[in-house]
Amino acid sequence: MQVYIATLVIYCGIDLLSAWSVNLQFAYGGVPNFAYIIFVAVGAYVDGTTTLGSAQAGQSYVLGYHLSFPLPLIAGMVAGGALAAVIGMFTLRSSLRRDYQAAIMFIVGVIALAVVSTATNIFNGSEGIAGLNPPFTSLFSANGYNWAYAGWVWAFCLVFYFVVERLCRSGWGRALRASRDNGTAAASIGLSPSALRMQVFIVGGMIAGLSGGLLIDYIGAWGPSAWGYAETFVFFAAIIVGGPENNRGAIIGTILIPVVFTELPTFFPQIGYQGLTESLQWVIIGIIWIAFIAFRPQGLLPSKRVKVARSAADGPRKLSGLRVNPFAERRLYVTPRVSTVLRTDSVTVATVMGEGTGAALGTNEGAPVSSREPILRVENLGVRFGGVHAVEGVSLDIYAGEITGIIGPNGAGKSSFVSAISGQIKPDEGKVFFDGHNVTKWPLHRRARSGLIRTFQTTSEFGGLTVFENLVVAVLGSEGARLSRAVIGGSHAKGGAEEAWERSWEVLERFEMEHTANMLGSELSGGQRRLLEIMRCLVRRPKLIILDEPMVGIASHLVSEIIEELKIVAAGGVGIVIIEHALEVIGALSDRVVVMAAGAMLADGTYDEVVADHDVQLAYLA
Amino acid sequence: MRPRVEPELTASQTETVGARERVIPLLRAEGISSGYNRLAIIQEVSIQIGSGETVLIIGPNGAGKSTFVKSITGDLPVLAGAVFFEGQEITGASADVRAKLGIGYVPQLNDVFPTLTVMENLEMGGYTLPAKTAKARIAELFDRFPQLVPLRRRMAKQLSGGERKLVAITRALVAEPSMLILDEPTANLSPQVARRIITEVVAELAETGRAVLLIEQRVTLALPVADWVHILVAGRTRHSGPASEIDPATIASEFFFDRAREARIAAEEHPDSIAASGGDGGGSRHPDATE
Amino acid sequence: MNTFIQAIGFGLVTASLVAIGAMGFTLQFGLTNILNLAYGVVMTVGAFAAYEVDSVSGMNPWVGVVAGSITGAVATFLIGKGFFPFFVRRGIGLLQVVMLTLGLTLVVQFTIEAIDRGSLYQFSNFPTGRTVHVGAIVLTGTEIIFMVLAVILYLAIAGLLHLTRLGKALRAMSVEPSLAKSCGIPTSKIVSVTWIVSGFLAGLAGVAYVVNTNTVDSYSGSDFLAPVLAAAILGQSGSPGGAVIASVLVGCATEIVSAYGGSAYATVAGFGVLLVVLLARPGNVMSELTKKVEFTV
Repeated sequence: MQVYIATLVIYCGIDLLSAWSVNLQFAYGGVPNFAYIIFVAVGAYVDGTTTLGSAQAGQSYVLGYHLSFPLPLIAGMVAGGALAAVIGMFTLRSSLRRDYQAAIMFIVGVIALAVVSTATNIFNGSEGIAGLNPPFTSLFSANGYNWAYAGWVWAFCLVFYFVVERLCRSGWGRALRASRDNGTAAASIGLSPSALRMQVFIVGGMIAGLSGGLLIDYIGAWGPSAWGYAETFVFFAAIIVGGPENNRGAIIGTILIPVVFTELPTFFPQIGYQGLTESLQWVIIGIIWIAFIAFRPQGLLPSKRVKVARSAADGPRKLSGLRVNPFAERRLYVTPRVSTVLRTDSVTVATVMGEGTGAALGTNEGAPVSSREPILRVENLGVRFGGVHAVEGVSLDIYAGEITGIIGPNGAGKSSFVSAISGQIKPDEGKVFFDGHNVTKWPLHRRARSGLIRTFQTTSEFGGLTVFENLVVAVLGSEGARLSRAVIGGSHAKGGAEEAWERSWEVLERFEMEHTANMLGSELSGGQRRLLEIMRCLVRRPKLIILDEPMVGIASHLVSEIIEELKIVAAGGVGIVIIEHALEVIGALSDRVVVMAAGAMLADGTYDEVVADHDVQLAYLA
Repeated sequence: MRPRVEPELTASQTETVGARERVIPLLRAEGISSGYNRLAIIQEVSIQIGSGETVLIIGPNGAGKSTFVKSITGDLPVLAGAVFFEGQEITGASADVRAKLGIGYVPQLNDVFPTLTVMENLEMGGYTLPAKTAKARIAELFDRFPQLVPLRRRMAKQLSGGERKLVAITRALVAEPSMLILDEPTANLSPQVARRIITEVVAELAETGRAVLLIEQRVTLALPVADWVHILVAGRTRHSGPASEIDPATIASEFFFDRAREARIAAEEHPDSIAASGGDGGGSRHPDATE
Repeated sequence: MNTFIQAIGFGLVTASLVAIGAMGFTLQFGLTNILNLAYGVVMTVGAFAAYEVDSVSGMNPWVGVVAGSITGAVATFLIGKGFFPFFVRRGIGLLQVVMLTLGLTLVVQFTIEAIDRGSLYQFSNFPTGRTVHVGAIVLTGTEIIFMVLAVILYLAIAGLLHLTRLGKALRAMSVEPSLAKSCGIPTSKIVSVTWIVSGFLAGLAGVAYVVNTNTVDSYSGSDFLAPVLAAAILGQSGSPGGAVIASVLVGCATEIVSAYGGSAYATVAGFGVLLVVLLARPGNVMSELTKKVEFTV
């Protein structure tokens, strides 16, 4: 009996590793890895074939090394990561539809099983590998060994719990979630969604390989019957039940599904024939799966948001007292409208704001305000869509500290023009110079990193992140999204993150949106989303912002406020380009107005000059 | 000095003016306020279209023209107001109800079936008719628009912009609708092709007694074929009157540019009655909005 | 050279089986946008129905084939009209719908396993017919029948889609659902017809597969799903002709690799075709993410 419980504990721990891995890849990263079990399998096989030495009697396989413990375990982990890298290269293409991706992963899993089962020389085909001796048996009695191994497994669990939590709470984890929510918006703040996805896929693969190694070390054997495609679903079921994006929920889910659910029936008297209960278990797992997706997609434990609040201390700005500890984030409880001092042990997370001046918002330190050297120069730009000129021969200089409005009737080419400037599409003719660099061929995220930011007509918030996180991830950009920094930590706590938090609060306060700081992006109203988008632009201290129809659907008193904010931002030395159809907004806001029609520039001057221009009037009617 | 109708027309004034000069309406939209996410993009817009009439809606971008059309066709639920067709209320009715009632609709985008041939597109237009009737009707339309004949077997996505729009309009005509709604038919067409579509196709639509609702950006082109003009600026009716009384040269300066400022003031004096949670009341651009 | 020709011959046999399944899948997927992985389990159900009818009734085994196809049609109709609309109405995402179909697969497949005790059955009294020699290619009568059947089905479906009013409406709906509604096309009815037709093909494909491999068990459909899915995705959603061409590619690649490299890697080969195309010509398979995908049920 003792042995039985010990075995349960061991399997629970090993399955927990897998649950976290699936959680990381699927819930945090948005990668639908329906072939998950093959990574566990490769870890098991590699561990096995590097323990056993050259081909044992009756078995044939590759990699017959005889490495001493625990090297095979490491080999298994590496194998899991390597397989992930290879498969990820084919399947993680960024423009592949999510459901295609899922289907292809599923197929990969089915085929891998088929290949390994039939190709007897890889891993001994359908018989699998057997004959491993469990490690470090000499140290323990027969009874004690199982508990010792359980301790070994759970030591890994403890370590990986902290590792995974740290990853999820880090800038990298935040960037990963942002990329999952909105890949284009993520690219526009300088992130690389495909790289992030590949990274999480490899990390998950390594954890899977480790769990496979732990399995085969204990059981002593491994074969295709242990890794059918249905096994992957056990882990997904654990995540769905426990709560996606919640690592503690994963613990509950793992206890409930792989352990309690699959083991419990062995206590009951056997119904029907031998093996009937097992089949029925799968049926019920399927039903649970469907039920949760339908009625409780957030799982038993919904994802925990990272919440923040202000410090009550009204004293002068304190920078030195700030220690941003990623673990501390978890223990913050928010009461949004009450400023409370947050204390978690000895760590105070405080963002003490002095009176925010406009200069703090968008200042481009070092850049001269309203210098006459253009921040953006466009020369003879041309954009063609299949033979039709959307933009033709447009040349334009935009200056820092100025607000330039672009107006024109539908089909004038404004959006194409802006897409070419910001890097979403490459122009067919002409050049674009930004801040002295020739950026004509630079992609979107590269221009974003150098200070050219644009918003989109459809709001592009990160729905699964809080408002505060939306801002922080924008500030930190690609620098703060490094996996290495997430793992090693250290400098993450100083400098960069501190400043990011401060800036984000500044901007929130300026727009009087502090009460939304802990709301998820998806919980905001349309106008709030638009404001968030603008805030996200500003938080990065851009040199030039391009706003694509920002005022649509915003109530007029808010419009007036935003206009005032934008003027302050421009006064701080940032260049602003705004496309708008609401002419009253352009009139109130712009220092200078450019009119485009039929792909060409028609007029350039103040609002009143341009509006009185006869050609412009005709363009609006033609 | 041309007679100008005061801005901020109320519904009753329009009716009065209308009763003097206009036919009995086939379609009537009264006091429509509509938008996305509970924020009204258009407010209290009323329109009527009668048989044999071509009613033209113009206005700068963002004025709410497409939103208004979608409210009438039932693609966008209204926040206030109602739509009547032949006396029956049809507010928010779905597309198949609309088709059965005899309302033809040519949307601005997604107006043809790209992977079907021209002939098949027309056949789809006549789906609700008995096969023989549809065939006869299509033959008639080929007579009327002989330029379509050589294109019969070509896939719609291989057509030029003008040909495609012609197919779209013809497709809607197969079912012999008593009313036709055209949402910016000349969008994305070159000026010459746009001229041909308006003067050769749209101009004649009302002749057979059909009611035509035309939304257009190309005012100078569309004005001559219209009987009645409705100017929409910043979501409200700026003007509604006979087409003959409008001077195209002054429309932009009178209504689009200067009036825009007045509209803003007017909007501020009438805060949105359908507001979201306190503090912001913002809506958002819906991805389907094409303006 | 003989080996190569023989491989092509076997490849065409495989291709015809895969084509039947892929045509059904692409019809469904093209119209509804639901990537229905439960298609595999429908194939299993069809296979089992055929087996049961065959072993119980003792009639001509081809009756079993018809029974299997009809069962597939009924099962798919129930899933399409009874299961999916519930979730689609509540606003479900692309990925969740795939997960739902996987859950359904689990439920049905293991119910079958529970009933049949996980046994493997032999379709032994299915006649293979006379052996026919076409040049270097050796085919059995049954294989030829299925190949001819595949061709006939393709022609029938192409005829349906291009010559009948209903079929044209189906194509119209697949490409512009809301415009189709504007034309007054009875969308619900056409969706029902699509489920029935594609389900019929699924059932038939399932039967054809188990007849060809001579074994039936609860995993049959899922095993066969991989190449069917690969061919359907490769052939562009909604295009039966594309599905057929892709099936030929997949089938021949599988058999050629099997002949020269051993049967173990055969399955990879078929899938490898899809991967190669994915890498080389992304535009073929990929869908722009910005277009919002909606389900038609």
